[in-house]
Amino acid sequence: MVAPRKDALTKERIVLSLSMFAAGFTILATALHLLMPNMLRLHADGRSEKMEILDAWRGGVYAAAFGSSHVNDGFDPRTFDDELTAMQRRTPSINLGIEGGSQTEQRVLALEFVRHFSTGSEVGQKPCFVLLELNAGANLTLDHLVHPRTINIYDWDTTRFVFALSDDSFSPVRRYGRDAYALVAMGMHYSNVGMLSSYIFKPPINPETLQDEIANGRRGLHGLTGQNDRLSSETQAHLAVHPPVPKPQRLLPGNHRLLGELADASGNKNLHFIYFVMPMYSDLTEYPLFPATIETPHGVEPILSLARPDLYPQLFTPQYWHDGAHLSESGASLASRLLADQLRAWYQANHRTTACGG
Amino acid sequence: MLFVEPRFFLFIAIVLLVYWSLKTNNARKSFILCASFFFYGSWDWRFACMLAGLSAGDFFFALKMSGTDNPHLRRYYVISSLTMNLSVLGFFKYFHFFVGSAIALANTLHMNLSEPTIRIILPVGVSFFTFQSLSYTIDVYRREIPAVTSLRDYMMFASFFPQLVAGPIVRPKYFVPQMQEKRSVTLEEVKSALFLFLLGYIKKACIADNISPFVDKVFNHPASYSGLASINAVWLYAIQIFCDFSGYSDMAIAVAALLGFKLVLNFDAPYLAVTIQDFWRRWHISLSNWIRDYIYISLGGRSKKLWLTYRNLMLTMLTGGLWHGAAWTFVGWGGAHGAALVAHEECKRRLPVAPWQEPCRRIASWFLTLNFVCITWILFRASNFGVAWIMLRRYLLLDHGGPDTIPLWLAWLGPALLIVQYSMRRAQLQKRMCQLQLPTFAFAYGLIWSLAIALLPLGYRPFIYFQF
Repeated sequence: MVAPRKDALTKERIVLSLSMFAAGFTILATALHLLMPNMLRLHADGRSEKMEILDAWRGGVYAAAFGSSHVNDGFDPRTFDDELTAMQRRTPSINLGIEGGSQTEQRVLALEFVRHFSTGSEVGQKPCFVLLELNAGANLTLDHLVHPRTINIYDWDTTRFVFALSDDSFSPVRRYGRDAYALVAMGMHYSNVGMLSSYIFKPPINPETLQDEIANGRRGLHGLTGQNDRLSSETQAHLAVHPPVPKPQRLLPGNHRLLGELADASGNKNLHFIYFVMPMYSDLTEYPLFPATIETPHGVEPILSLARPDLYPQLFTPQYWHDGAHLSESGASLASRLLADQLRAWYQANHRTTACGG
Repeated sequence: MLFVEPRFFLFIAIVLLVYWSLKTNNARKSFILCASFFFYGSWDWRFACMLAGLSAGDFFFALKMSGTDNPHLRRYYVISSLTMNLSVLGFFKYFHFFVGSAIALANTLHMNLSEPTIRIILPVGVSFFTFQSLSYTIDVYRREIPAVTSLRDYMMFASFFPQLVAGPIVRPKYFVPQMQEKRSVTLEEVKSALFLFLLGYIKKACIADNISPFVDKVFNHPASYSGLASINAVWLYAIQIFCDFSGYSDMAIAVAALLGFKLVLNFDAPYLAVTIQDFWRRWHISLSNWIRDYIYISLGGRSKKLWLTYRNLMLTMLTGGLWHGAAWTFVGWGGAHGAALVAHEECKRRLPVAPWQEPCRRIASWFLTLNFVCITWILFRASNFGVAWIMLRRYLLLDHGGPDTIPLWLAWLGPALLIVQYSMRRAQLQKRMCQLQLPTFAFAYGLIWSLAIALLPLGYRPFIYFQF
């Protein structure tokens, strides 16, 4: 038995020990991080089910809608495809919106989609769209900060993307709060919080969520029931006296950055990256007004908006809404038809080809 | 506030910083008292007030007891303390159990009664702190210890936050003397405490919490799972409950040690026990000692009449079962352990072992003890006797069960952890870690924390023993 040596506690020794602690932590964290397989594939309920749907349809879909629950509940691939039938050929699409989703989550999912986008034998004949929700929140919610949904995806690139989702027009609290969320999440990401356990004790996919989103050919649409009684005719009455007021919005550097990243990841597949704005029932009083187009690496593309009660009053009737923020399944059908109509009209007016391929 | 939550880390960092910066023992004790009530109040301030009231009551009764030699008065005060504590325990923990049982009995006698609509919230750790308070007043009554003369000191003993909500149950004769002098810690003790905390954290967060979803799945829908999955789930539950509870105890002992206080060992590798008696010397040691000293001994303990000894054993274990939870399944669990202790006594008496048989006996006895303990965990975990019966039939291979399964590789977790535990004990890992120079210790500590964090399940689950 070796007798313990004297372990004197000096300031230098404490600093050295803290540094050694940090070094030990960092070395193993780095090693684990490098050994970890694709982190987007680690379990994250909600997203894992969408990844399962994406895998099942890979190679069979040429368009996908990304975004938050507004898209998850509000984009119906069946109607969207039917409406686009007249535009060259029918484009099988898929709904990859996720409940509680954010710009960061739509970014990683869209990157995953375009990286593995396979243009089959019908190359050059199908229109290929990557539809991105412009008004999704920047980060996931605070409830999701310590959650695989957040931790698994907040690498340095995602964090930089969040930094680009604010500008000088933001209040300091909003701007730095947004950045701080991303930094904390990034810290947890590089510390591999929960990743090894997710890999070893892999939780199963939620069969009920999956079944709900693939039943009746929904292809990812989470169908909700209408009509919400709380959305009474009061707003309609208000509308009769006060027409909806547009509130001009600016595009953020991050919006352009995302398009650049997607273009780089997709190579020469000539995909069309289209931003669209999902509606809220409160748009009846004030609605966001974004620029009509955006410059993308593949040329000018439209910014489509469903948040236009002045143009689409029929969408803002309570029967199409599950609640103030989410469309019902019938509302999703109508919204998708309007979205496809806008898309088709813009391409026809601008004589642009939509076919994709290398 | 759970020990594995980030806010606890912030809390303990502030507590340690302030505590060690205070110069006098009185200031430190006052601060610990405030911190303890803040800790308990983070669940519900009303229960913190209740704890304060109970502590003040017990302090008063003990003080009165020590101030008189009149046996009747002394008896009166100790009974008052017992009544007060057991009433609180009975009301909060057993109200629904007794009322529900009475209604069920009445219904079988065709007397239609309905349960009152009152819903009682169980204060966290009520079984622990009432037992701890009882041990104080009983010890004063038995003249084993003098009464504490400072209300502040007694309240600190009764509410000491590291062990307040899930033990170890601290005995006053062990803890109160520690409070009399200003505490100090050596660097060796700090390293030992830090390592023990990490060990407890890994047991609770990285092992127990990761396997609990698999256990829950099977126990919640036992009919749809295969026999193999059910056996696997029982083994996993044995791991879960050990890692959950001993992990908490390790963290509690470590936090107390960082404040300079020593708490008793609560677990000593119970699954390596070679007899059921040995198991109870290793599992939840502070409770085993408590029920031995205050129930078994009070009932007469080991008597010359064999049947009296066995009766005392059964009654003690039935009470121990009921202490764990307000349900008949817990009573059944206690009864099964009581019966096993009686059977073990009988075996010892009737089947003496020759020296050459000893090694084989030890192995066979260890195997039987382990499986008996696992089987009785079924009663402990099952929501009712119906579920327990299904699981028991599966465990004994009397029923093949349904089509669902859980990953088969999890069955290796138990043997693997037993080997790890055995190896750690043989290698004296904790001692070796503490002998490392501080920077080397810190480096190894950082490495292990990095692994622990990667193994966290996301979403904290409360400690199993909090419900008791």
